[in-house]
Parts: sequence; structure tokens; C-alpha cells
Amino acid sequence: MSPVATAASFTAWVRPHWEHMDRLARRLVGAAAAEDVVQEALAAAWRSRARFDAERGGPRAWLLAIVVNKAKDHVRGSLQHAELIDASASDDSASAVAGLDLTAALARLTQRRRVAVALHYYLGLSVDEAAEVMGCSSGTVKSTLSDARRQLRDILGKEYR
Amino acid sequence: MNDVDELLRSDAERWRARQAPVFDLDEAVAAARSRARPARRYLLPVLAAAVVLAVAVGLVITLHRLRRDAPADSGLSAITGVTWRDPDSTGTVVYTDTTMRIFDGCMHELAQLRVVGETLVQGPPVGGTSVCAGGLEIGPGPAGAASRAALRRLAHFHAVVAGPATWSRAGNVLVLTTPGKGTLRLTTDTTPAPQLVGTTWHLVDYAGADDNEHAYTGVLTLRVASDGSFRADVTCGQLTGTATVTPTTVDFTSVHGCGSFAPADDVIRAVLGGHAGYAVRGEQLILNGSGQLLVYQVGSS
Repeated sequence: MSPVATAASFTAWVRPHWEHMDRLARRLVGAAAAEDVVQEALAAAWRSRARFDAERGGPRAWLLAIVVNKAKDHVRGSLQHAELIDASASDDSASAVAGLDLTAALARLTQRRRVAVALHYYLGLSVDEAAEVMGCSSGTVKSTLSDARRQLRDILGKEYR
Repeated sequence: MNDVDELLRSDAERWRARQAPVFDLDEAVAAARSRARPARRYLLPVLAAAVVLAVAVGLVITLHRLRRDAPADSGLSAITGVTWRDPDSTGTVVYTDTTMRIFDGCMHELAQLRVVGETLVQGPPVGGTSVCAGGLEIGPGPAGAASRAALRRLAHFHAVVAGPATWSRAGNVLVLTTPGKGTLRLTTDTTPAPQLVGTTWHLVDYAGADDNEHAYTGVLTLRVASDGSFRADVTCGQLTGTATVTPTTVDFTSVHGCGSFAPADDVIRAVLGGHAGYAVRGEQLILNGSGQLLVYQVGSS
């Protein structure tokens, strides 16, 4: 029997990665829509659990890749708007202002670059782990992150290198 | 000099610290299993939902007709149907009785509009898309639209428009004031906002897979008809096909009978050959599909 055949075993199998799934959804679609996206991802994972192949990668990468795909289907505009509102509500400290600038700048990245930044910086995955989620080589993730940082630098201005 | 890598790491740390607890996994799995059940088991709930939806739609139509037939007032009709521009940013908003369409040069969102007392409040999104390709923004706007200062002005625009905003119109100026967020003075030229469907558009700009912007000075038109068909010029002839339009996206299926003779042709085929996001800003239509961009301008019919 598959290790994830029953609801109980599936739940236990997902549990170590649950917070990552939620956090990734929040980064990609915003807090308001994250629960819907994660729920859809979980339903998709349940339906296709028999097709999970441990030879091709770990469960975290598999589950996070499903979250990325579900987030792509979701309304894209909400994230930028919601994050900008949240950021503008922060205090006026220097770090809050920098955060607002960064939030607005991140909204300008392509989806692929936003996914790479979310996985590596906000979820804390290594480059290799992010590559597993994104289905590409570590070198590609490194160059995607480098492109993202360069683009952010261009937007944020000459104070940043 | 600050480092972007360090900025991202410290922002990520702050972000993680303020995240709410994750919702319950056991409940989520139970819900996921329900969603994953074969459709036929949902026949009764689906039928019930369809009945509820039909009743709700009927109520909305009835309320809309009642509102439309109500005595004329100086309410929302004073500000609906035209494009309101923020002169200090790239933000625009178009109101209808029930929706607001917000476009900031990159993000295009259609949201419900709630009128609460004398205030306007942005409600849940109906649809949204980004029309940027590789972060490139094409279209009218101040030079350096992606600068920090410009992004801060955009953040201010979004914050005020979200409401709850009191509003007043004097001539071609709409003043929105949201407590704690500030005030916007939006302007309009009173021209009704053109629609994707039924307008003849002329190509003025495009960005292909190289992410570089190219102005186009020839005459290539696009027209999406209300019957779901579309035709678009390419250098050697026309693309024709169907266009399924939602508030912020279009699904094109096209047939083309001649080759590509110019770089613009490749981009037109790519964007008008599948799923695309779109936004209308002023007299410009921006289409983003397959990572490439087309910008059209209103032309004469």
C-alpha cells in the first residue's frame, strides 16, 4: 500500500511541509487568497498522490510545485495591491519604508523570478531545494535569482548594489 | 551602499515574524478529499448551488433595474464610465455602478465596488492580471516609472483608492480622501473609457521574447467583435479566429494563412495565439501573452 493511501497517512505525510505550502502561497497570491490556493493545492495533491515518485524528488518539492501551479491560476493582481496596502500601513521607520519599496519592487518581477525569490529568501530553501521545486537546474535558479536582484537594484536605485 | 541580497534577507525575516498561524491541516485534508470526490457525487449540491446562484443573479438584476429606474441623483453616475488618472503616478481607475477597474501600468485588477454611506470601498477582486513582460512596462507614464519614488506614489494611489474614500467631483477633478491614507486628486478628459470589444485598435508598440521595447509606425489593426470573433493584421495578411473575453483576460484561438515578415508579426502571433492578460489605460490597450507584449492605440473605425 502506498505510504499516502489513507487520509491519516496523507495528513502525516503533508504535515512537515504544511507551513511551507502556506507561506509560499502567501508570498505568491497574498494572505487573503492563500487559504484558497493552498486548499486547491491540497486537493490536487490528494487526487494525484499515487503518482508521487520518490525517485524524482522529495514530497516537499512535489507539494510546493503544486502550490506554484495553483498560484499561477489565481488572480495575479491581488497580491501587488494587497501587499502594497499592508506595506503602506506600516510605521514610518527606515526599515518600514525600505520594506514598502521592496514590496512594490517585487511586484514588478516576472512570476518566475518572484517564485525563485519566494522560495530562496522567504521560505529559506537552498538553491538546490528551490531548483527541485521549480523543476530546473541549480544553475538556472542561481541565474534567475541574480536576474531578480539586478532588476530590484535597477528599481530601487543607486543606493543598492 | 546597501545590498539587495541583505535587504531581501532582512525583509524575509520580518515577514516570517509577522505571519499568522497556519490553518488546521486535518480540516484542510478533509475539505481536500471532499473537493477531490468524483463530480457525480456532487450533483445535488451543484444543482442546489446553481439554484442559489440563479436566484442571486435574479436579485442583482432586479436591484440594478430598481436602482437604474430610481430618480436621478448626483451620485455615482457623476464619476462612472470615464478614466480617472492620477497625475502623480501611473495609476488609473474606472468606476461603474458595481465595479472598479484599477490599472497601474503593470497590474490590472477588476474589483467589486461597495458604496458604504458616502464612501467608496474596494471590494473583493473579480479578476486581475499583470501586463508586464520581464518587468518591462510599456505605455504612457512618467519616465522612470519603475523608480522608487514612482512606486511610492503608486502605493499611495492604491491605498487611497482602496477606501473607504469620501469623494467629490468638481469639473474634471475627482477628489478621493481615505482616513489615514491621504487624498488623491484624479483628473479625466471625460472621454468614455474605450472597451477591448468593439474598438478598432492600431499597434503602436511591442516587446518580444527579447524583452526589448519596439515602437511600431506602420498600420496593423486589431478588432475584437462582440460575437467572439477577432481579426488582427500581420504584415502579409490577417489573423482571424475567436476571442473569449473575461474582465481581464482573453483566450485567443487564431488561424493564420501567411508567414512572418517582420518581428512584430512574431509577437502578434504569440500574444494573439493563446491566453493573454489585458488592460485598457486611457486610449491604449496592453496585451500580455506568452511573455510578450503588444500595445495598441485607439484608431478610427
